[in-house]
Amino acid sequence: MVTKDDNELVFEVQRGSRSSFEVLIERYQKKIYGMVLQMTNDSELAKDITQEVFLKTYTSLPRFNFRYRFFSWLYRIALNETIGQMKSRRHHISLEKARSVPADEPGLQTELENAVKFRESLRDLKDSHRSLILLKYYFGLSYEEIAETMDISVAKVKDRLFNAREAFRNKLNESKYFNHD
Amino acid sequence: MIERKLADLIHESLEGNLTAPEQQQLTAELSRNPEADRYYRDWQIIRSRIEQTKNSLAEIQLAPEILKHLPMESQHLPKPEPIIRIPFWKRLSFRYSMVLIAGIFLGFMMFSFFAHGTRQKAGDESQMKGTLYDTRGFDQMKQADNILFDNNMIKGSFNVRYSTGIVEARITFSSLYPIKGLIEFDYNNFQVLNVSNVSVNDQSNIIASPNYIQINNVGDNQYIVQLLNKNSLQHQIGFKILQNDVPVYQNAVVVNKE
Repeated sequence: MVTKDDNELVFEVQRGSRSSFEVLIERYQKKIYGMVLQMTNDSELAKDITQEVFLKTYTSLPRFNFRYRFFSWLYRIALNETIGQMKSRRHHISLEKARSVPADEPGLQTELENAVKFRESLRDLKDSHRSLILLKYYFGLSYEEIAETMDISVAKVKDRLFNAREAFRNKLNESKYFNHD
Repeated sequence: MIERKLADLIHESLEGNLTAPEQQQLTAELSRNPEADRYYRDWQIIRSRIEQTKNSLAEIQLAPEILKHLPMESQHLPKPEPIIRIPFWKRLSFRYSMVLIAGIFLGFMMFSFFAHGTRQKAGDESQMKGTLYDTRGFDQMKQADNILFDNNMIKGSFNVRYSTGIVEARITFSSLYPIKGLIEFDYNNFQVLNVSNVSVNDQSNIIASPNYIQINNVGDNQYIVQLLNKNSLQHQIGFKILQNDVPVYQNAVVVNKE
């Protein structure tokens, strides 16, 4: 079976093919959901936002500019949608909530706390820093691909990524995520 | 905070992009620089956590739910705006032209009146030349041909009509990737009067030369080309579609068949 590239599928969706859009959803749903989940810490909210991202993508497809790559465009919609939703909802699992979860096994409580510290440190970053960390480390995008997604130059990506990494590490340090003893 | 250059080197190392000598150099630097060493270890932990999180993402199946919520109507490209043809007598350009013509005529009459004695003898009528622009609408013109092309990835139409002195071609292209459309003609027989992008995105354009017109197209676009048939005789106009500069289609139409 021949695998169609994203642009071919987009072209078919623009001509009315819902099955081609289903292929695009299958191709990207896990990545988008993963990214949104990392940003929101809430699986139900992440599902809702992911659905919204694909619905917005579908209705915006007639305006898709074939000069760009589809995934860059999709990630940009996902970033904007997630940031917008987070601003409006301020919805996340708190550290206190994690601590209240009874843990049967020794170490599980610490692991759970660490997971929450990690997510909260990521969540507390500036939107632009968080987006860069997600695109670089969760999606493994190259500098060029990040530049295209965020519509900035590669040099700016490198500068901002340096600052984003510093900010993230500082947040983790503040939350005592690292055991430096 | 460690130096940017060293931090970049550490991240290259963590991504496995360093050569053996570079890695050795970094290892030596880390053993000398505890702050850099801590940075390196911290980022090892961060990356390991990210990998763990990525792998723990449950398989998710949202497609059925999303498809259920899609608008029911088919997703089509917005239809190009219809070409609105304003009757020529209502066009501002026509009205200004009429005022200009009236002015010139009046001037000519006054000149004739005052310069009557010095007027030269009129030339031979057979030597007179001129062009009468045909203002008839496209629908009233005679059909030369309407060529349609469709190979799944490229759709094109080349609808050519003509009157005695004017040839008008309406061209549409729909292509996912960049293509070229070429309209070729003999400059002894034709002169380009007008080329226009009726509904064109910013990645597409149309270029006129004395003996051909080139359309660079991506996406769905419409173009109009008007040529002057210099001698109002029967001539051929070629039409080609090229992808990566390789012709994928070519044909020709004949105008003024009578």
